[in-house]
Amino acid sequence: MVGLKAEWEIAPAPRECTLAEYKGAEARWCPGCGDHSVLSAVQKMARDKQLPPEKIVVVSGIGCSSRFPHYMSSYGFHSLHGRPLPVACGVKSRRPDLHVFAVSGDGDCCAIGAGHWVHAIRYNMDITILMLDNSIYGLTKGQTSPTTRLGRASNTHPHGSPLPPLNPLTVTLGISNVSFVAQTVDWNPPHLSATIHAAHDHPGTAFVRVLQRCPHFTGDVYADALEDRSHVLLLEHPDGITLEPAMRERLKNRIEHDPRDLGEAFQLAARTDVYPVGLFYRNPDAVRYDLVTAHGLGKTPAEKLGAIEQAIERFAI
Amino acid sequence: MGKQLIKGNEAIVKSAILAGCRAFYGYPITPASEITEAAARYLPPVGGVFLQAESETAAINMIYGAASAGVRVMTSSSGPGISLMQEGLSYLAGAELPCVVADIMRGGPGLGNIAPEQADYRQVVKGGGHGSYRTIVLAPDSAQEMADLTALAFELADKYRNPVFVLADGMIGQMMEPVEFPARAVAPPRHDWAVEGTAETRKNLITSIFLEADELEAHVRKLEEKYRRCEREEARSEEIRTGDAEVVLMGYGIVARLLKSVVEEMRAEGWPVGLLRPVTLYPFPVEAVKRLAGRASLFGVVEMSTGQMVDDVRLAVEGRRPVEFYGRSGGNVPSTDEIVRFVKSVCGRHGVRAHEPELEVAHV
Ligand SMILES: Cc1ncc(C[n+]2csc(CCOP(=O)(O)OP(=O)(O)O)c2C)c(N)n1
Ligand code: SF4
Ligand SMILES: [Mg+2]
Repeated sequence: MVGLKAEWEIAPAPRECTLAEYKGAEARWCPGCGDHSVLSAVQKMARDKQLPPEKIVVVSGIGCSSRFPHYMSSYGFHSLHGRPLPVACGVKSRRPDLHVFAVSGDGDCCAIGAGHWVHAIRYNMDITILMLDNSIYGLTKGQTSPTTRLGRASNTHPHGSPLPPLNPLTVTLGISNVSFVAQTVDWNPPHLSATIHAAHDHPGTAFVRVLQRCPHFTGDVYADALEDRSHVLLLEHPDGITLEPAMRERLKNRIEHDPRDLGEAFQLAARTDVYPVGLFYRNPDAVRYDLVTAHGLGKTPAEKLGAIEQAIERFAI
Repeated sequence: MGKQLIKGNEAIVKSAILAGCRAFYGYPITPASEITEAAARYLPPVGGVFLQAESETAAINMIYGAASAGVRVMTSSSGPGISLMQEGLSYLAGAELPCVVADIMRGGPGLGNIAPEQADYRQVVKGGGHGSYRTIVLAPDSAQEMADLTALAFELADKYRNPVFVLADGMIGQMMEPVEFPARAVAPPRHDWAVEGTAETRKNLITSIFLEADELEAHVRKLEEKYRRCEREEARSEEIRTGDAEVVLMGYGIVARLLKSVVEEMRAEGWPVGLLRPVTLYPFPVEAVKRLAGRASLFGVVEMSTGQMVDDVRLAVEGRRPVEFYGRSGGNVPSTDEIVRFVKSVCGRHGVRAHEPELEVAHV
C-alpha cells in the first residue's frame, strides 16, 4: 500500500556526509557560467547542515539552469518547461520529511511557468525556489526572456526588446500569502551561501532570485556590478541575511531594512539604479498548504481502515 | 524571385510571407526556433506582426484571436510545444478558423531530445485535442516543398476554414537546398466571416459553443462533411517506379528521401520495388494505397518512430496485403543500407525475388 508512513520512511544510520556525497555528474555548463557557483553553494549548504542526500529532492524545469538535479547526488526530478513548481508541490504535499528545492530559470519561471509561480507562492509549502536569472533563454540559444532589459537585442528581437523587463521580486512580493523573498548574486559566494541557508531555514516557500551571469549570451548584463561593487545595495537587519564582518565591509553600499516591512520591501525591490541584495520580506506565520495536504499521514493502517469502514457505513442501505 | 540557397526552416517563413501571412505568434523551442527567429526578422519589415508569446498556450490563443480577425497567421513549434497547443487547435477547428502551424518534430516522448523523429504523427494527424475535428497535414521532403507546401497550407486553411499543419523534422528544417519562390506575392484575402471591426461584419460571431444537442450535432456534421470533401479533393502523393512494383515502400518527409535512394539502388539490382510517398498525411492518400494494393504483393513502411503512419497504411490496405514495418527512433536516422536489408529480408519472407538487373541505360 502506498502512502503508509511506515513503508516510506527511511531512517538513515547517523553518519558524517562529506561534500563529495552531494556531487552528481560533472557539470556541463559553460565555463564561467554562474550556475556553477549556485550548485556549489547548495552542495555546501547541504553538507553544512548535514542534510541526508536521500532526503533531498531537487526539482527543475527545462533550461540550462534546470540541468541542476543531474549535478546533485540526491533525488532529482528534471520536469517540464515551466512546471517545476507544481511538481515540487506535488512532492512536498505528501512527503513533509523531504527537503524540496525547485530550480528554475527566468523563462521557465516568469514566462511559461508564470501561472504556476503565482499559485506556488500562495500555497506556501515548505520548499526553496532558486530562480537563476540570466535575463535570456540560454538553452534555446539566445531569445528574449521576460527579464531581458528594454532595448536589448536577441534572436527574437533583433532590434531590441520592446518591453520593460518583468521584475520577479515585486511580482512575488505582490502575491497573497508570500512568505520569503530574497535576492543574491552568483559572483558573491558568501552572500549566495548565506541566502541559500536562510531560504532553506525558512518554514514556507522561499523565493530566491539569483542574478546569474551567462558569459555565453549576456556576459555584459551584470558587468556594472562586477566592476564596481557600489552598484550592489546590501539590505541589512538583525533578522535578515547576515554576512561575516569582513565580507560585509567589502560592500560599502548598505541599507537597513526590516524584512517584516512589506511596503519598504516593494520600494527596494523596484529600484533599478542598484542591485539590492538580501532579504526583502519574511513572514514565518504565513499559512502553509503543505500542512493541510499532509493531513492523515501519521495515521496507522488500522486507523485508516477504520475510517474507510466508517465512511462506507454511511452509505449502507 | 529566382532560386535561393536556403534552409528549409527559412523557406517556410519566406514562403508564408509571399502567401500573405502577416502575423506570427511563437515560443522558442529547438529545432523550430529558427522559424520563430526568421519570422522575427522578416515579418516586421513587411508590416506584419511578430510576437514572442510567454508560452505555446498563449501563442495558439493569440492565433485564435488574429485568425478570427481574418488575418493569415501562423506559428511553429516542436513536440512539447505542439502538445500545449492542442487545446487551442480544437477550438480553432471548432470555430472554423484558418491558421498554419509548422511542427518541426524532435525526439519524444516527454522532453526526449532535439534530434529528428517522426513521432508527432499521431498527435498531429489524428489530432491531440478533444472533439470530432481534423487538421489537414502536409509533409514536405525538401526545402523546396517546405516553401511550396507552406503556400498550399495557407490556401487550404482558408478553403476549409481549418488549421493546417506543415509536418517536418529537424533534418528537413536544417537542410540547405536551392529553393524557387513564386515571382509574385499573394495579397492576403478578405473573408466575409471575419470580425473586422466594421459595420458589415458586426453580425459575425466566432464561437465553438453550441449548447443545444441538435445544434452541436448539426455543427459537427457540417465539419464532418467538410472533412469528407477534403478527403475526396485534397489527398496528394508522389509515386516512383510503382507501375510494376511488387513491393511498395512508404514513408514521408526525410524518410521518403532515403526511400528514393533505396528504390534506385534496389532497382539497379533487379528488385521490383517502388515508392508511394504521402504528401498529405491527412487526408491520407487512401485511394493510391488501395490501387497499389490491388496489384503489389507487399507493403514496406519506414518511419522514424515505432510505427504511427503504418496504422493508416494498414487501414487503407484493409488486410489485402502484408504490411511490414521498419522504424528507428531516439533521433536515429536509418541508413539506406539498413533499409535495403529490411526490404530484402521481408521480400525473402514473402517470396518476392529480384529479376534480371536493369541495364545502366535504363537510368539515363
Ligand atoms: C513546452 C516547451 N516549450 C519550449 C521548450 C524549449 N525551451 C527549453 S528551455 C527554454 C527556455 C530556457 O530559458 P530559461 O528558463 O531562462 O533557462 P536558461 O536556459 O536561461 O537557464 C525553452 C524555450 C520546451 N522545452 N518545452
Ligand atoms: S548558455 Fe549561459 S546559462 Fe547556459 S550554460 Fe552557458 S553560460 Fe550558462
Ligand atoms: Mg534564463
